[in-house]
Amino acid sequence: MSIETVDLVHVFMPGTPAAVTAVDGVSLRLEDGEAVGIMGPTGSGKSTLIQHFNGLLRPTSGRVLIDGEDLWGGASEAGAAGGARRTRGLDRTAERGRTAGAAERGRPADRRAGPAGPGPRGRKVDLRAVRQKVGLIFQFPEYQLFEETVFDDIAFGPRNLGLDEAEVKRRVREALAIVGLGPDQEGPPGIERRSPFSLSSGQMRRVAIAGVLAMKPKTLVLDEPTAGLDPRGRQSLLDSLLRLHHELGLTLVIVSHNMEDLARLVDRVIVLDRGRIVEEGPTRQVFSRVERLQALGLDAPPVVSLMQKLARRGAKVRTDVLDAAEAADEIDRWLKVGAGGGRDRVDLR
Amino acid sequence: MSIFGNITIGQYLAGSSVVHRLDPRTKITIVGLFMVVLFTAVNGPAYAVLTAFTALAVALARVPTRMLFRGLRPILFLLFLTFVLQLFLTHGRTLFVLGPLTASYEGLRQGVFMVLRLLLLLVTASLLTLTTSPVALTDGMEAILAPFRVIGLPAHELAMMMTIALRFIPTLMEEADKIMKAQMARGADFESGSPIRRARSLIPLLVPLFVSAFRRADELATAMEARCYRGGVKRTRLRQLRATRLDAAAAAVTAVLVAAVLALRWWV
Repeated sequence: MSIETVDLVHVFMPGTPAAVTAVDGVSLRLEDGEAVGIMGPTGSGKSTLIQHFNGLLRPTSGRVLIDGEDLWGGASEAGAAGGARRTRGLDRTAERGRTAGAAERGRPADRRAGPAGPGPRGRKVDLRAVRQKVGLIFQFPEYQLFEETVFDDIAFGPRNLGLDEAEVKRRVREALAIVGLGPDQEGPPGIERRSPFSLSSGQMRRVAIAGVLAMKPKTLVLDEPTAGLDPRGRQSLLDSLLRLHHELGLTLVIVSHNMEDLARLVDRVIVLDRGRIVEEGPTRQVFSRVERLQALGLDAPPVVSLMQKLARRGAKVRTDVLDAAEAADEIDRWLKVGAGGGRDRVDLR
Repeated sequence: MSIFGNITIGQYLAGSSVVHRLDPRTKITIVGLFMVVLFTAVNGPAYAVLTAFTALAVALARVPTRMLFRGLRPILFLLFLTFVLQLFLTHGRTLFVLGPLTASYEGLRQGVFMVLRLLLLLVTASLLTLTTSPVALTDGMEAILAPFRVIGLPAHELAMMMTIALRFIPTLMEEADKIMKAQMARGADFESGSPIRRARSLIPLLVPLFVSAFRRADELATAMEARCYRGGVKRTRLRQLRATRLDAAAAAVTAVLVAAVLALRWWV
């Protein structure tokens, strides 16, 4: 499935002196089966942006299309009439912002456009169906666990979908296996019957992710999935995500500051700054623009910095490497060539 | 943060008006006295005086009235219910009959007074928090409670608890909003179904919220310990409370108010 945003703008507390434009005219398209990274300094609007992907936030203006279908009514053919209607809708929102102030800000969207109010064209998009298709995993998802047992917690989503118990059971087992906590994997024995609060934080996070996976989303959006994990927890989480992407064909959207994680997971990177897209392209290409990234307060992966240092000192090496293995190969190649010609001598001290 | 954004309890609106500049001890005392005399008011003139006093305070504080009334919205129903109950359940001369219910003139009078009383109560209380920063408010509380230390009242600890509670209201709201969204992403529905269903649907919100509140409390305690916090004993302050001529003036006005309301009770 594809996710598309058109001139997406999100303003918090519109119509008050405290109004903040978190997302400022973002147009992007995520194709089916893609793995995309979203980066940007703190406060660049990453988290606000991804909450539009499954309709948790309603855009102040602009559109969100899931498989070409506009989440917030107003079909995609935005003629003059559609435009006018949208403008009116906007005014109304602003009006409410003035009277209710913060109350309306970011109010869960389905209150306004949910089952009670069909879209302007009489067609309503079932937000619950969208949330099933687009699984959103927030930062530190372990803080959302609440059930008495791991099984029940993972079953929360599937049960909300109204599935029968047999199917729920199957999905819970499957989800546990995907995150590597299945019966014959590294999970503690009898994990299903244990309290989620008795697990280690890495295991808790994986249970929380399983809770979203059990809804069988087609797209998985993760906000800083590896933050605060130890190296092993991080490795196995990255492995699980890669498996989901390559074997099950899930579309991945990863928000992260960690360039190495992104280098491993995604093909394409979108860089946000102050609510706007400032850089977009294949991972390799974006990561090799070290100065640009540093100007934004981000950093290039260490291997890229290394190659750039070499290049600055006269070594004829490619700088668009993604990981240590690629860098090693490239240095190896250069050393062999360099040894023959002997012309590009480099002071490596 | 967002969903619960209409809760204005304890919200502070920075400013430099006369009311903002009053010593918190003065403000707390005035609000306390106001509440007491509010409950001694029994007739129209007394309510008029009290309303005028409140209006004056609101005007002097230069707080947007919209802000003030937004905080009242959640209790509109309560006000309405109070009015209706008073109207129909007070015995007296018949005003009109509605099925088995009889409204009386006395009930109308009682209802209006009761609603006015609640309104004035809430407006003054919100005015206090709107014009007094939480820190100043708790400092004032502590200073007022200090004399009771001799009978074993832990004034400083109480003030500290209040500061912390106020400090964490926005944090917890933000947290609640985040958890709510995370559960909605898993198909949770907080807004439809019978009241029982809706109450049950809060479990996925409340359990993580409590867990995180306890975790925060624990972390905060550790952080305070790590900085050698010891309550009360010989602590000095960055901001010393100082009463000025302004406070004297406010006290004088309040004294007049109290005298007027009491006088109206006995002589009118």
